[in-house]
Amino acid sequence: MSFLSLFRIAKLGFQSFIRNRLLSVAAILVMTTTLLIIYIFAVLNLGLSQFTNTLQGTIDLVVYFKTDALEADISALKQRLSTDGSVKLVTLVSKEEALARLLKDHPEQKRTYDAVGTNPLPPSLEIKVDPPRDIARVRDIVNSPEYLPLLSDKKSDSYADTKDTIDKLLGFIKFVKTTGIATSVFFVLVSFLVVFNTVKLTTFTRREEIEIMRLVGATESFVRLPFVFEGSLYAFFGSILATGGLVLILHSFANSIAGVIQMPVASVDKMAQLVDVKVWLVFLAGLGISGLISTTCSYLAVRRSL
Amino acid sequence: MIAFKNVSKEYGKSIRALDNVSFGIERGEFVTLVGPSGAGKSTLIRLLTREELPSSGEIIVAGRDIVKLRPKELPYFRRKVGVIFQDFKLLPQKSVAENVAYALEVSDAPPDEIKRKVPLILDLVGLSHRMQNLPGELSGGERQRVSIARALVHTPKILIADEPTGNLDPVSTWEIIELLFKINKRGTIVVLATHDREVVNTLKKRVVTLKDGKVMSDQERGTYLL
Repeated sequence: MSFLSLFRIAKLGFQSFIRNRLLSVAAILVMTTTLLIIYIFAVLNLGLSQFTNTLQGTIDLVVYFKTDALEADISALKQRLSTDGSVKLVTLVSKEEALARLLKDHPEQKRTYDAVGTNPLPPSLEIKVDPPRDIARVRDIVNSPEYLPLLSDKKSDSYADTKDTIDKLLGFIKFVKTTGIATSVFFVLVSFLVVFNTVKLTTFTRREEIEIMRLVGATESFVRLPFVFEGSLYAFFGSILATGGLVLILHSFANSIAGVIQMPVASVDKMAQLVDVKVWLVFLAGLGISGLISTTCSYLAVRRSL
Repeated sequence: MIAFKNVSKEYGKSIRALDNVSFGIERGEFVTLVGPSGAGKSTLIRLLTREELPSSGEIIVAGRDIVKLRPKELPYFRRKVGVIFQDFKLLPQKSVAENVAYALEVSDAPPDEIKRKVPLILDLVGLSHRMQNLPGELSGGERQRVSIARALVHTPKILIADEPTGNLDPVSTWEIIELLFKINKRGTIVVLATHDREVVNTLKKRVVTLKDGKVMSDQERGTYLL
């Protein structure tokens, strides 16, 4: 097929798109909704995964000792942990340093400390573990009979907190993923049906022109391709609107989103920035998805009705 | 040039639109197909333009059995066969020139060919002064002439006219018949389906009369028999 034919096919498709503007707007809106839903769930999933990774990387394991534990014994444990391949960093936080941190973060606690007169905070070891799944194994080393007498009687480490937070997040990600896939599939089916019927209606309204085209010797591809092109226009405009909508939502409703998914606003802002930087990629991904939907069902609709 | 060989066409089990029809048309002939409604004229024309397939028989056009044409070959066959209809089948939102150009555009013709051919063909049908008008601004006879111009734009070997004067007043009818004569004199086969008795009797050309799906008579310089 020549370039001239392609140009004429595109022209016919565009003319039909304008002529049936109400149907076109309906198809574009459905396509936009579908893409927006896919986008939002994809971004949520990405954001939550990143947040979990950050959490796993920053929380790590904190081991608390008895207030009277000797620094030499703690140093021995530190030495032992340093030789482990999964332990990337071990930092000793002395009683004094722990107090200094507390007073820095919560200056109002100074009065309580002054009233008590002694430093009640235990010394601790902050252990950075990579990969995070090895935290449990590192914890077993700390809890071995050799070091157990050193550990605090109350709550010897942060493992339970970390595990609980990460497990909750992973559960939420799983929920978002499942809901996202189910909702996206539903809307893909809806847009498939809408585009299919829009193109069928268009072929019906243009049946006389199609009859004339055939009568004067147009090839089947020349008769059919304008409708497929028209379908791809729904995808094109739908992708533009959905990408714009996503950027707008992430920027305008960062606080509300953060509240709903219980994430820091900064993480939502980070997602918005990521979308801003990769906006072309987001648009192209949307165009790919919607293009596949609309051209496939336009082609099927044309095949069924012509 | 055209040969119908034992052509039958059935719709379902009960309707037999054509029953074992056989006749031929030579190069440069002007043939009138006549018959009452339901005689099979329109079916015969739809078979000749390959809009439909016969239930049995062969239809030979320029040495090829068009029944056996593959779908891919159909557009190229249709460019060799011009067709005009009673209801003109023009695109109302396109001008006269655009309607004619459209037939060339859908056939992948380059712009310079379109630019050259359209005024020539509109001049032939006497519509040079109406090029920019929309079909709605024309009389019935003028619209039929646009339709003829569009049918001729591919310089077909055969022109099929299915009741082309059915919607026209007597003056326009004779304008169209004269135009068909002119086209025929240039060497194009004209197949005219009509039930206008006056036209048939005045033409004094070959008349093939159909009745109940069968060829009732085939007269060299015929008249309307029914």
